[in-house]
Amino acid sequence: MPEIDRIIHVPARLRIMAALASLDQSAQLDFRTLGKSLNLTDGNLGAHLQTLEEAGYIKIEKSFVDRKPRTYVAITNKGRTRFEVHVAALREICGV
Amino acid sequence: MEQERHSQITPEEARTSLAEIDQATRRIRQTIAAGISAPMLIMWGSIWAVSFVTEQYYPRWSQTVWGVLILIGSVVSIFAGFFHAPVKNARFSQVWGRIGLAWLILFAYAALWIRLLGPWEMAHRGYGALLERKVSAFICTVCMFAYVLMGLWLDRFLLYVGAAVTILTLVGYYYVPGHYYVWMAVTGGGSLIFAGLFIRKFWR
Repeated sequence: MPEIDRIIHVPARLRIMAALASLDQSAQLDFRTLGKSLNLTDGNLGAHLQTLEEAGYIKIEKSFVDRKPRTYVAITNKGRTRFEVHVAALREICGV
Repeated sequence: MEQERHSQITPEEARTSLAEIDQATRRIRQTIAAGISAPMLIMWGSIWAVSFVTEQYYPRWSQTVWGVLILIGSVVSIFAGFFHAPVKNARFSQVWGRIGLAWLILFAYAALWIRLLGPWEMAHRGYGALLERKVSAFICTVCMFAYVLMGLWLDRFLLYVGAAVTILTLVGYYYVPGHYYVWMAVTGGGSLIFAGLFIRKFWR
């Protein structure tokens, strides 16, 4: 029986995971693009990403482009699986 | 325990969460598309506008201006696609590379079709201005044909932009022959810039 994941169920984190899970398996998303898309401030987004990273659901990579730092975020296999289980649980509750 | 049975979640709350998932998925796709398409449309619209104005008022310089600006635009497009894309992965780079290659092939075929159709023969019979307009309209519609095709695969918005600029090109060609190049600068270049600004404003 699918289970609700309390880490993912927080609205902002749910949207972050949904956005990342919609990309290809190996895709990394730019931090600023993610924040802009979800209407989250850098601080707010950073805090939620840290929680998700600590849970092993996402990985964060920092690199330099044109000598400027850029942060990329990607969903892990564990995160994708947990997200899919979470969605299945939500659907089950709704009876979908 | 972070994972738990879902007895505490109401169906209403679950429905709201599923709707948020759908919205987040849709928005991230739009934001990624906007991050790539908007600056490209604005840049190529500006290139069209400047080059067509040059063609209308300084025809002697038009080939040089077109050549230099297309070269700069192509280099910037490739550079932006590979190094400033909002998404980083092998598949994205592959898709971007194929789009670039497709444009190159399209231009090569357009050049081949122009050569095969041999419109230069008309130039010897005093149809020089008409010939230049014909070739220009042909190249513009070939470019917009590519937009329409990209729209089928990437985002419908590009399809609408391609179709709209094709219609504007035909209107300019048939009904505004005396000011065709200015018409193309304003409507063709302007439409591309407007589309880029629209995406930047509303897709983020």
